[in-house]
Amino acid sequence: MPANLHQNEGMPFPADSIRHQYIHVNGTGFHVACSGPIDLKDSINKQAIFCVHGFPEGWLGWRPLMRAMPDVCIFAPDLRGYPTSDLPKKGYDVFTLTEDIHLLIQALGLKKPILLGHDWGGALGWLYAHRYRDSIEQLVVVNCTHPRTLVRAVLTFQDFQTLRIPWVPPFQIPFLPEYLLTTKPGRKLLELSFTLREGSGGNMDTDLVRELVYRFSDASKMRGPIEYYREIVQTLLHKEKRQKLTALYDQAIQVPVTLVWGLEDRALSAKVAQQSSRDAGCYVDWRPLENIGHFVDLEASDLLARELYRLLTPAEKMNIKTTKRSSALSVA
Amino acid sequence: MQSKANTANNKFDVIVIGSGFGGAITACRLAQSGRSVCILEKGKRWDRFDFPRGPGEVSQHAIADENQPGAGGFIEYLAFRNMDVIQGTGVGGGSLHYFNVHIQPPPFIFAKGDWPKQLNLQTLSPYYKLAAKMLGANTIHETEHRDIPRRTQVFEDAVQSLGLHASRVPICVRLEDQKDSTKEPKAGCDHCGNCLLGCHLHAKNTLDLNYIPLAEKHGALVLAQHEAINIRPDAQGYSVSCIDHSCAPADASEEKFKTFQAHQVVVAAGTLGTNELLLRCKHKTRTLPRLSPELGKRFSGNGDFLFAGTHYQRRIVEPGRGPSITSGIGFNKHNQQYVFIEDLGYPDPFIWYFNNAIPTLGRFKRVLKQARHYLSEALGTGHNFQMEELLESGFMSSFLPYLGMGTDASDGVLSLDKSGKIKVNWSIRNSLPMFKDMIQHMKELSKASGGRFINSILWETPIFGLPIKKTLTAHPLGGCAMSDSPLTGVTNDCGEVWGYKGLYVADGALMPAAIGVNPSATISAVAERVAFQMIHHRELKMDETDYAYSSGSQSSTRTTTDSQPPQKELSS
Repeated sequence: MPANLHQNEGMPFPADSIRHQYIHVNGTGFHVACSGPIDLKDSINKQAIFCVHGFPEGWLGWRPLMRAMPDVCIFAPDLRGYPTSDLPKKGYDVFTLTEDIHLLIQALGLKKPILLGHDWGGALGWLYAHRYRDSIEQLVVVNCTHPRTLVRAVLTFQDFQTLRIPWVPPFQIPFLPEYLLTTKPGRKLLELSFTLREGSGGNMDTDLVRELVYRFSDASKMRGPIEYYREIVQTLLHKEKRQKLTALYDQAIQVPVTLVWGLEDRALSAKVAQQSSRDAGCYVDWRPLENIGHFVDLEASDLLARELYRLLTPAEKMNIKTTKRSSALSVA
Repeated sequence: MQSKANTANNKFDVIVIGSGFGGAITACRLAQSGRSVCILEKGKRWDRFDFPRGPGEVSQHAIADENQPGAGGFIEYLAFRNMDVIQGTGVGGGSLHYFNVHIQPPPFIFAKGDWPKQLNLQTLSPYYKLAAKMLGANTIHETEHRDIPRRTQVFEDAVQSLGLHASRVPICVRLEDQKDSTKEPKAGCDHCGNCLLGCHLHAKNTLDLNYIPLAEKHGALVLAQHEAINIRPDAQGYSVSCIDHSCAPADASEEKFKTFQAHQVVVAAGTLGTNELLLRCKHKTRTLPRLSPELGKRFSGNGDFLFAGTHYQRRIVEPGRGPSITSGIGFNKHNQQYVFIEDLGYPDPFIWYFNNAIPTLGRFKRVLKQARHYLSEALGTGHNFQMEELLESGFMSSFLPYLGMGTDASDGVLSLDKSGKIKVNWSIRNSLPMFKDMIQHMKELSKASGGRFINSILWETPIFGLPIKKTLTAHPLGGCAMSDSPLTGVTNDCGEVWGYKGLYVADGALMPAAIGVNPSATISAVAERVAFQMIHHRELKMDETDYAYSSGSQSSTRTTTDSQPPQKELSS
């Protein structure tokens, strides 16, 4: 790209469907995309949804959801180490990452948002709910098992869970994985890791997948995402850190938890996932989606939006709220 | 002096040749100031029901026939050696088929050294404001019945993926239904996407809906199908001879050829038309021999680059929906080069045509399969014939076309060929770096948004990528450049031709260089300025724009024409 790219001064009309912010917290900068009403008061039930993406997506993965829910305030950051946010050297352990989320929610001025996490973001969501029990309204996890359940399942070979995530051991090698994944065949592999895992009833936007993969233009941008896998293994191996994590798990989750699950997920076993409530220490609402694969946000944003609308408009208020929603949708 | 009574003798205060953005605006303002004005327009008058929609109509009534001037369509397609030109003809000129964009260029465009020093974004801004108000410029937004078009969304997402922000461009379209009980109800844009083929709802604010009716209200005479062929100075000013194409072919030549006289003549026949007419007067008929030798030089295609775009695998773009241009992104390189890329819509008939003309393997397979199913169903076997399988979305449905514009080298030369027709001598050589940058930006847009870049078929062959390096412009500019001194241009900064008092140029031909964005707003502003300077001999101030042409509020501007003679001394 030429050095001096900037916008036309002659035009005072920005396009504003999705707004972008750059927030500096916890020693690094985060890019946050926001959609929906500018004022939180105009959002349904005055609630906001804070979305945490998985590996290797970024805020773009939530764009279909943002378009499907134009009347709700949605905030989606690029997590630490992902392109368009900063790429710091350190801080990829789950404690710092949950802290990032906490500080971002505070910096955005959100009071008790709904926390929505997918894949790695879901794992962070679980941990977040354990750690900061009072600062969210609800936790919605999409296709991610509770981390403690997952680790136990991996160690006990439950439902072949150990074999389902074969990329975790190679990701422990320094430098090589991020280098290989940003070469041409690696990029193709990354692309296929999305498209081949699509559920039979899914409707994945393959162009969006290529857009996602294109963002990892070089190895330095891929390092952060892979560092998550290295740090979690180190946390589990290191005694003190493991104790810190166990202490976290022992505080039971106090907010309502919904687990939305695309049943054709080959990487995470649904059977294992259903045991999450044991470790969460609370009731977990199990919402399976048939014929949908792992990337629910990419391939079935409409179904996910319906699940979220259901949570935003509690059953007893359903009638009033749905009329409001339909009128809001027709205006949009 | 002159008044309406004299129009019977073919005498007017002002003759305006052409009714496009230059002509309609100057004619309207001059008529408002009380002069008797006659507009000579080569093309026909178009009502909203006349615009072509079906394939047969499009083939016959969209594109003008070169051999039958005054008949056929309102779009002229002229192919030259290195550049093709699309221009409009008809009452309303280029506004009939233009893509509604009313955008101001960035300020440094005027500072690049080619423009007269009186002209810059600041002095022009009152005129921009006047024109924008008349033409009803606004940006695309969600309305009661319509979402943002999908093409806009996809384009803005693509720009966002580059880490930049697209801006909605101002377009002269009525987006919402006019339901106000005090005014007559008018339909808003229905996103049919046929802006190129004329608007059947009159939601597009073409000149024949605002400036021209206002001119007629103030006594201007619009003569459609009158093609001006010569301008000759005489004792009273100028006499303009023209051909009346509405005459029956067998009419005597006296009836076909008419001559009008006026004190002042405004040539606004479109860039190529103006240059053709003036070059003819200079070299062929030699009635205006003292025209500057700069005439025809500094021609620019405004760096137009069409037909390129991004093809997506699964994303549906539907380029045929919504106003044809909605959003854009500018790339400024060191205040020296400017590239502006917009999303572009093609009209429906072209989308259907291209969808079927571009061969796909899947189509052949599907038709065979369904034919088999159809036959076997008739014979009572288990196959189900699926009609819906035969309908396909095709290549164009997931294609996001771009319109690129930029500051090209403006080094084209217009001349007349042996038969007296205009000829464009333009070489891409000096503009190539700009075009390469533009294509690079488009490639980045495609790549960042996950699509595949498809280059223009005029630029390189689709299969082997062999260079053709031809461009198509819808924005021909220059040839009668404004200048500070008679040595460097054809007209002064007010559009008056050096050496011929009372002869004005007021259209795209005045632009001394490429503008880098859609030029209609700038042409409108310059035409407003030409008219204002003709009437008042001074600059319009920003705080005057509200009442400059409103009736009876300013003493120097009169709006009644019939009784009083014009106030200003006219040159002769």
